[in-house]
Amino acid sequence: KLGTLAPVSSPWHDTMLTLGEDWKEISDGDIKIKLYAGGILGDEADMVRKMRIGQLHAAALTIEGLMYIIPEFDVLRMPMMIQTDAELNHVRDELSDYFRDMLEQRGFVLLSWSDAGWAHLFTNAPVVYPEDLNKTNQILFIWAGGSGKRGWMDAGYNAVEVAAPDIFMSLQTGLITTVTTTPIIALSYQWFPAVPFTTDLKAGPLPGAIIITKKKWNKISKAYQPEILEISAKRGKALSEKIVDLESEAIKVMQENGLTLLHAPDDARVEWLEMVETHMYPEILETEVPEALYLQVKDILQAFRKQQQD
Amino acid sequence: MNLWSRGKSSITYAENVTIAVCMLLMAAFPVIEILSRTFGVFGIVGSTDYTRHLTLIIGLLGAIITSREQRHLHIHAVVEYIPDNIRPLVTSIIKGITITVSIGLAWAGLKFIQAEYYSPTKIGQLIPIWIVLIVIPVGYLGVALREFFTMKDVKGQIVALGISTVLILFTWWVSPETISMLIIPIIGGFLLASIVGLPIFAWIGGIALVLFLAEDISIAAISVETYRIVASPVLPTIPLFTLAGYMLAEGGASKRIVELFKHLLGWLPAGPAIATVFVCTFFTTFTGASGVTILAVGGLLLPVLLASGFDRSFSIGLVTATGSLGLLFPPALPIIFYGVISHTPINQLFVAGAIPGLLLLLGVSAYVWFRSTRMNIKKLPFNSRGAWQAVSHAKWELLIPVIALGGIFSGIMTLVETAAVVLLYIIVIGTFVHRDIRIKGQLLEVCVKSSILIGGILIILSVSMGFTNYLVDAEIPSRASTWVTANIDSRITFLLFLNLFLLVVGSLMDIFSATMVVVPIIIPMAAAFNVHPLHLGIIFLANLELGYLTPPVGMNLFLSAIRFDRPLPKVYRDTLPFFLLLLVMVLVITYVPGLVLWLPGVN
Ligand code: NA
Ligand code: NA
Repeated sequence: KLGTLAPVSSPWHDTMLTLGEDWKEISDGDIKIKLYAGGILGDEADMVRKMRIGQLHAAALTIEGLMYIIPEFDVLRMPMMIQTDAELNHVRDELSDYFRDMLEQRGFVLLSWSDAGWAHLFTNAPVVYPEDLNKTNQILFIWAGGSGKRGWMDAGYNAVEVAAPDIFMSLQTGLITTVTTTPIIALSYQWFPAVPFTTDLKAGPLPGAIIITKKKWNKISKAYQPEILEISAKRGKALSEKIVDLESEAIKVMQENGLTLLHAPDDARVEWLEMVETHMYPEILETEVPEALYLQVKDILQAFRKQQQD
Repeated sequence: MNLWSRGKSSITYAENVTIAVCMLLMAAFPVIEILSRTFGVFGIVGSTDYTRHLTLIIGLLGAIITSREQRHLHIHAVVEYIPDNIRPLVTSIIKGITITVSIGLAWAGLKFIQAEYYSPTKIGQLIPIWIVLIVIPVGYLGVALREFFTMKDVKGQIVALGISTVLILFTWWVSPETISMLIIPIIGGFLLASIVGLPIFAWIGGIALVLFLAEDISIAAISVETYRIVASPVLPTIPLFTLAGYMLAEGGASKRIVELFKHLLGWLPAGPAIATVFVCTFFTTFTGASGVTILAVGGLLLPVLLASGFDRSFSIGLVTATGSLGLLFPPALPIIFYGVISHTPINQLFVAGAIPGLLLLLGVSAYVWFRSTRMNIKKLPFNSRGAWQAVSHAKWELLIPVIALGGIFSGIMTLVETAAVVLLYIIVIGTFVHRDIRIKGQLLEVCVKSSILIGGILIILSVSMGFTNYLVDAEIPSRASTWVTANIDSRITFLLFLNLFLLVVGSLMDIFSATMVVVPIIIPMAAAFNVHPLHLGIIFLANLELGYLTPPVGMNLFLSAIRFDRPLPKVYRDTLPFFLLLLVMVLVITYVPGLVLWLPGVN
């Protein structure tokens, strides 16, 4: 039993169907995946809970769900830190053993990464620099346990806690006028008409993973396990590449329907980074990410960027 | 003995005070949130998180109080007709089953906590979730204890204890395969018990427990669902609006509103009756479909009607029928509830319900006027000074719908925040402006009274989501809809069956239980016949509204019989013309989707 929020016939869903075929082939029909798509088992937190009690065996989660198991995953999407797919993949490869071990300790096995794109800031008026964002403007905070709100408020902005099902209506009525999300989500949930301005500045990635409970994994014959891991990783990689295309396509579709894509020059990037480092990072480092891990990722990135330049 | 009863009454007091404090806190968090963002200061991190977890506490504590007061909802089928000589035995058996199921659900809660113990997630970045989850096993255990200690005779207690011991040992020892083999008789047993008075939460919860046991899936699955739905973001509106409605009905507000409508509408032809229609609609909108309208306002309205020359039969029929009118207007709880369960946008449901709601309201008014032309009615003469006085007395209450509608549709507040503001507003005008709600005595009393309804609803919600979880796990809704689409060939036939089915359900169950049990099953079917989700929602609610008046067991019929001290068959006859009229209008709403879909602008 594998659960996912991804709707039926989305690329994520297709990938999981393909995976089902692969596994069946590898195991000569011993392993069958029963797919519960479109969030019929609840949101990602619910799916994690159902895996813990053994009702669900596997799930394709975004970082939101993964953080219910390991809050430290948040290091991957600290705002303005990781900037490209290459950087994301490199950092993840470097930390792969670390995350795998943590997952194992909590009773899960990592099958594959499965990414959901890059978050951007969507606003109801052009915003390129931090000071463009009106301090009285209201900023969305997606209800998920409080992270982020303190940082925005600390920086003098106005943040509102809104539950996920209320987001659409809150955008319509103007309760919130700014959203941080991926272009694919902004398009598919039709949020963008209310917040029709964005920039090419990436706020951070929305990585994800397909995981299985250790209990179920151990029931799979050792003979099949390596092959299953290999094919899963391969499908995950192919999915990530597909998402890149899908994301630029989503931006194009939204631009045709009234979205304005602004260019953020380098000094804008620097100013945002300064803003989040002073106001957002302290909260994240206090509640989710250990300082040592953050510094490690910073080092990895620095080395990688230098190597890229050479 | 003295110590025992003193201990019992201090537990009662502790339950009452705790639930009142939780309710007021629940109103406070959203209001602080509004203030903080208006003035840009002092935001509470995780404010919505606290609010929604308070719902869990209020729900389970409320369920204990509901047990204490012996007010759990049950099906009104043959309970009233059980012969006196076997009634005590039946009651003890029912108690035994209720206690068993409650203990099973408490056990499920413990297993859930065990699994969640290692979760790193914290509420408001402060409190580990498992700490709040303790309320689940504690709550169900409290229900079991209260069920046991409310029994009057020792002989009955022994029977109940014996039965639950046997049942618990049985489920403990046998294998999943055995339960799986016995599943049909077990479910049959629960259904049989349901019509002789087993509380709805106990038979749904019991069935969910045995289904999961039979499939060898951890029963913690039920608690996972309980947490998922009861601690979901929109759910705090249920306790908040319910309490607001009770405050209105219990304080002096009901008198002021009745006076107001009497003066404003009383001079019309059939004036007092028209005023009744509007007053009852107003109250049902705020109290949901709890019967509060008939109980609280009916007594004020009946004398007015009789004095104006309406005959008793017409008057009682009118109050009974209009006691559920108003379910389709914001912020009526059944709509919010339907939205939560079916994942339909609540604001859109409110918009969709406006025209059908008006149709019912004006239809009944027109009928009332028509009937009155054959009676000798004394109109209430219009008296501008009296009217002005009534308006100025009720001016604070008149603002309530403005706040509620403004909050919901303007975008200044979320739905939960609106509910909190409305509640605080009603408390403030009741205690400080009119001074007819005393903080120490009445506020506590009203909180406890409303918690009986809140607890009764939320405990059913808890278990029925567990039951639905099983259905989804076993892919039953999609299979049922495949079957229906294969065997019913047209949309018209489907809608006809839907009407009949909902009418029966509505006469057996209250609207909240019915929503939880039925909606997940009919949604895929309706989708297969291209019935728009908004249309389905309004059909569902309008049908169930009618279910309150469906003989022999509609809830409003019982309430009227009790409130007005009138034999049931007479109440049936009083209400029948109104029932037929509403039936016609419900059919119109069902077969003319445009009435529902035009205003929200969907097709
Ligand atoms: Na939840
Ligand atoms: Na009913």
